Amino acid sequence: MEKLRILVIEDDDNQRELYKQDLVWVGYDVIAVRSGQEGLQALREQPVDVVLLDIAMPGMDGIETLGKILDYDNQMPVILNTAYSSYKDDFMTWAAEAYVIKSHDTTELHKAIAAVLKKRGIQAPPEPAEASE
Amino acid sequence: MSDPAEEKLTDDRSLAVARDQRRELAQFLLRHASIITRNWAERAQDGVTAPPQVDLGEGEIWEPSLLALVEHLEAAGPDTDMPAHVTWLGRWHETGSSRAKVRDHFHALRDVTTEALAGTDQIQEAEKEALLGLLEAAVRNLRLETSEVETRHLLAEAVDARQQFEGLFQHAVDAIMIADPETGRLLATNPAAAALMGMSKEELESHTLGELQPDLLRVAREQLDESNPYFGTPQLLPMANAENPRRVVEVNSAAAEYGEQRSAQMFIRDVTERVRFREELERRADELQAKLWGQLQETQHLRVFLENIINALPARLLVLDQNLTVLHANSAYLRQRRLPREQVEGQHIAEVFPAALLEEAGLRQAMENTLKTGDRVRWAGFRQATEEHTERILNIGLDPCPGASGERNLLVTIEDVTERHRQLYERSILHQIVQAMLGMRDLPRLLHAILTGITAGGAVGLGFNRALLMLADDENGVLKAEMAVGPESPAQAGQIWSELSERRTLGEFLKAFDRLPPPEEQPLQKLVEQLTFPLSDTAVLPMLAAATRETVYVFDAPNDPRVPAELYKVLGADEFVVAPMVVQDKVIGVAVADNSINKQRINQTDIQLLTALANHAALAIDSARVYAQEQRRANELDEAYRKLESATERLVRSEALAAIGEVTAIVAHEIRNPLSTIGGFGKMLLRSAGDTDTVKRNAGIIVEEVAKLENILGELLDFTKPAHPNFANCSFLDVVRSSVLAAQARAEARQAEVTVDVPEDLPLVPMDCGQMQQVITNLILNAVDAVQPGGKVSVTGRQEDRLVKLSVSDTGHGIPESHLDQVFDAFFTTKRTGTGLGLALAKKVVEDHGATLSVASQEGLGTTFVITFNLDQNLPPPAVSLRHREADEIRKGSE
Repeated sequence: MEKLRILVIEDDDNQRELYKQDLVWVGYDVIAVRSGQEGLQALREQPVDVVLLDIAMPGMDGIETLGKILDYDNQMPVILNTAYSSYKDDFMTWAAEAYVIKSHDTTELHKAIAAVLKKRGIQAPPEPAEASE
Repeated sequence: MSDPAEEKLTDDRSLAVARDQRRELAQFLLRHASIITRNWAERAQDGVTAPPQVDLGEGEIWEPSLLALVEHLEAAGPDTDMPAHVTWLGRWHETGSSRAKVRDHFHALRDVTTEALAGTDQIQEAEKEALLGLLEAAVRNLRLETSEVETRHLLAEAVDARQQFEGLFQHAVDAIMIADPETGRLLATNPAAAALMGMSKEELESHTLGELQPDLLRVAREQLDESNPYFGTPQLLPMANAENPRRVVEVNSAAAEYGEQRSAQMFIRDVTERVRFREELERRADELQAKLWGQLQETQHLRVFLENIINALPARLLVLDQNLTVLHANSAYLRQRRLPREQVEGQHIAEVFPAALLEEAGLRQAMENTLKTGDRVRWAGFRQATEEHTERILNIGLDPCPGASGERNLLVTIEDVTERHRQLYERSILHQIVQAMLGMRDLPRLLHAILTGITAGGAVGLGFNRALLMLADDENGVLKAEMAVGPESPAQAGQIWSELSERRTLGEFLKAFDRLPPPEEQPLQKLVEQLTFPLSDTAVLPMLAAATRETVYVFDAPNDPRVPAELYKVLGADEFVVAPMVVQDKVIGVAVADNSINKQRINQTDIQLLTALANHAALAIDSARVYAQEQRRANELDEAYRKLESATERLVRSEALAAIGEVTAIVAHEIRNPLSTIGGFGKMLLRSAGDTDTVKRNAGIIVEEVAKLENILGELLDFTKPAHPNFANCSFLDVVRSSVLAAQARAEARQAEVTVDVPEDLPLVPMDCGQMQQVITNLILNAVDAVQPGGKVSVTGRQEDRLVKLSVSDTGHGIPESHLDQVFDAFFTTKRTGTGLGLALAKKVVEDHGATLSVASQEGLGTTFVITFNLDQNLPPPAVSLRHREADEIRKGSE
């Protein structure tokens, strides 16, 4: 079975690498890009199941990118991922399917991805067991 | 001009020579006029004055320039006689120029001409010499001419003088008669003389002096005779005429030459008016004298009257002359000195005046000074020791006092002001004590001041030996001894008084208060402190004085029915005074004073002063008490204000928190990113390097630390934007159990025993179960942190009527009282780690639920936090927006 594909749009290199490794570890196919433009480009080049979108980015920010993604495909599940909890007050963010606060613990993120996929009748890969802590 | 050599030129021969020389000179000058004029002008610039202009009348101005002189001489022709030239010079002279000035000009002419000659080559040397000789002669000639002019002028003056005399003679107001003193024949008379005699000039001159008035010739002769006493002295003579039979004339004669004849020049003046006026004057002077005599009589009466007054004056008066001899002494002085008048008046001051005052005090010198300078002197406060060994205080005045003939005498005024001084002195003592009492708010100090005022001696206080203040205690209905000062025995008194004698003012006495032993250690204090009397016992002392508002003087205490035995026993004095201290109708107390140590009798003045002092003291004590009350009230107000201020401060701080919150949000965001990255990679590390123990352990630590940091951030963020409660009916027991479970790990780590006593049947209260669980968890964790290993934490739930109370208690170290009202403040923490937000957030959440969170603590015993729900406070679950619910779900999911 072909892996589900997640597009990660994140300007911070370390963060982007983290999500890439983490989601690959869970079992997704991950495309990670550094900006909104690159994200939109990637969307046009290949099918994507879920978009994980950072808000605070230089140039085109997450809110604007979200609008453009929905313009392109209004069924696209987008999960906003940010450290800025107050962003949820911006009604533009309501257009996103889910909203996740950045954390080292990516379990919440995995759950959110699984949830949006489930809405579309798609089964997410099961959460792999963590190495014992 | 008086040079004898020049005098020779005055003869005719010389004049003729000079005339020829002048002609030659004139011709020369004319020839060289232009050169000479130029030089003259130059000389004029050097300050040689040009000759003055002469007004010849009819608009003709003659300027006596050199050129004009030359022209004049030329015009006159070679045969001109001297007079023309003299006329010219005369004119010049008339202008007021002095002869010397004229001469100067001619000298200048000579000098200028000489220079002109020296400067020209048109004239041969021989000719030049001849010309210079001419010039010299001309100057000499000129001198001659000027003296001639002068003579003519003198003559003219003489003629003028004669004319003037004629004028005077003719027009004089006085009659002038010139007579032959031998025969009395009249030589000349003036019109005034004719008028005086009522005759024509001719008729008058036909008379002799004797015919005119029989004494006239005799008087004239006497006045002319230098050996006669009437020589040159005007004489009065009666000279009746038809109009005035009482006419009087004044005659004055002087010797005069009339032609060759010696004559008498007689001036006669009608002085009838003057004589009459003088007679009138004399008459009036007589009248005046008579009047003055009358006044003198009156003055005599006045004198007697004044002398009576002076003798009746209480002040002693002395009048001294320049030699300090007593001219007059008034009765007061004589009385005081006990001397008869004749032993004082006419004596030197040193004989009658006390030497101590006169010499030692310098009074004599002051007297002499006043006699010399006339300065007034006032000496106040002379102290004079009397024979009775008492001191008198005198004011002495020294005034200059004109004597009968205007000479300067001295008035000495001596006033005995001993009594006045004594009164002033007593008043000033009282004043001083009252001043010291004023503004004294501290009651013990005030009482001490009063007692010091009563007992201090000298110029400081009333000088009683001992004093005791008893104050009314209305609450207990007694009059109670409050404070006492004074020695216990004469021996002690000596010691105390010698110590105190150096202190000159009450202020200095009072300073000693701070150094005094406490009242309870003072001997007298111990003696009297048990002294109390019922306020109702007004029949006897001491309340008798307070009740009657009268000062009571006791002189035989053992036998005085007003003195209770108890009072006598304690005071041990036969003689004492009790003065009431009453303000309006309020009995403040009494002041008791005695002289039991030196046994000096208490006199009327002492009693009066004590009464007055007690009056003032009552007011002062009353106001000090009122002040103390006001002070307490003010302190309460201060406390309230301080609390308000602190509340305000907290409010301000919470506003500051809003700003901090914004900053925090930004900071939190900045921190969260790297944190989540670190944590994420920690996990990656765990996942990939599970085989290496060290890596695992280190990575585990990274993750753990990051979790803590994130927790803090979460708290910060929650505080900035706390979530609205999401109400549901929860079971208290369930919530508490969840909380205990959440805190279990930490409780075990700290070996704290957590017990739960929450009945299952507590009523359900609408609450946000998640938030409330967080609050309780927080309280339990705080409690766990507070206790020592083995300590106890108990969670208790109780219903009391309509209140449900949930308390979390610990057996920890407790919270210091000073921190108790700050524990709910944001950012207040005593823990080494912690944001100080936990309890602030807990309080906010509890209050969002309409409940209260309170704290009680005892240091060393433990702390209890109580959440109180009021069941009657029916708080409907607020509408919660989708956004909030979503956000809250997301948040809860992340915890």
